[in-house]
Amino acid sequence: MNGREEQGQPARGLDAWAIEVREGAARDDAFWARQSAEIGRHTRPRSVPAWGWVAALGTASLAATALAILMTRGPQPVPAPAPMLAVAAVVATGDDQWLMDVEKAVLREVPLAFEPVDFLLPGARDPDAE
Amino acid sequence: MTRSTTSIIDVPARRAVGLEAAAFDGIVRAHQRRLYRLLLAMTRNPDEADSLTQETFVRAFEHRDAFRGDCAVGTWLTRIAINLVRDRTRSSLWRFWQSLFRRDGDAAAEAEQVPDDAPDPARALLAREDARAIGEAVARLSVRQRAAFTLRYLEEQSVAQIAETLGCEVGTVKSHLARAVASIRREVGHERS
Repeated sequence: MNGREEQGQPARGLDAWAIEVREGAARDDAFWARQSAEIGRHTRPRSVPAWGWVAALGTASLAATALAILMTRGPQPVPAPAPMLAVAAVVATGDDQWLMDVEKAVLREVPLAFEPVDFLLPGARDPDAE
Repeated sequence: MTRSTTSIIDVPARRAVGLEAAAFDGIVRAHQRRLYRLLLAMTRNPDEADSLTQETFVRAFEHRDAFRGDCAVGTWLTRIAINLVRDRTRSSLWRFWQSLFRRDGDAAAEAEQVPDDAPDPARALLAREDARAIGEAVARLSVRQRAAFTLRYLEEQSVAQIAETLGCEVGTVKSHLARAVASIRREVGHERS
């Protein structure tokens, strides 16, 4: 059932009202395009404004200046090695020393413990020398 | 007259959940005419209707994450638009300016509305008188009655659709419509007598 009939309202007035509103709401394409653009200004991602580029250039200039100042200061003192590196160096040195000691012991003709005897009794080590 | 027949109005919102910025342009194009027409009927002020149409879309975009998909996009937008009209109407300052400009605007519009080459000037004038009287009576309704009346008789929505838009029961909508029509009939009758 039509809403106009169920409410008992004469159709003529309501129809005229609806037609008037529809005609009054009719706009040309330029109006809708302008309205869409206005809405889009709030909903579309914004491009970087001109002042944004200026700020970016200023920041880049400051960074370049700071870098140039740092480079003209000359070589910086070498920082002390970190503790872990020092320990590693000590360990490496100890290993080398130990290997050298082993090599000396292997090449030694008289064991280290008999060296005093060898010193006191030179002939004891090589009987043919006498 | 251009009527939006785009199916996106009836697309369940869950398929448009997220409402990405790229898709939002399409939603604007699909719904701007219908929303403007609705808002013009409710405010009777073209500038106000334009401004509220824009505000509806901007607010929808800002709150697009809150869109749950439990109704169509068109229903959701209509709900936002009606809420904006309600908020605007609550402003006493707005009411003052609205009443001030409505008197002048109606007189000017009335003078422009009678064409010289009308086939039956008397009938056309009578119809326009009815339309004007109804428009004035609609403007004096409460926002919810005005919304129900406009959605029913301008947008030709079903009572169930109106209930979904207004977020109330079907019986409540029928009550709003009955009161609105009774009020309009009473005011139009007074104008004629």
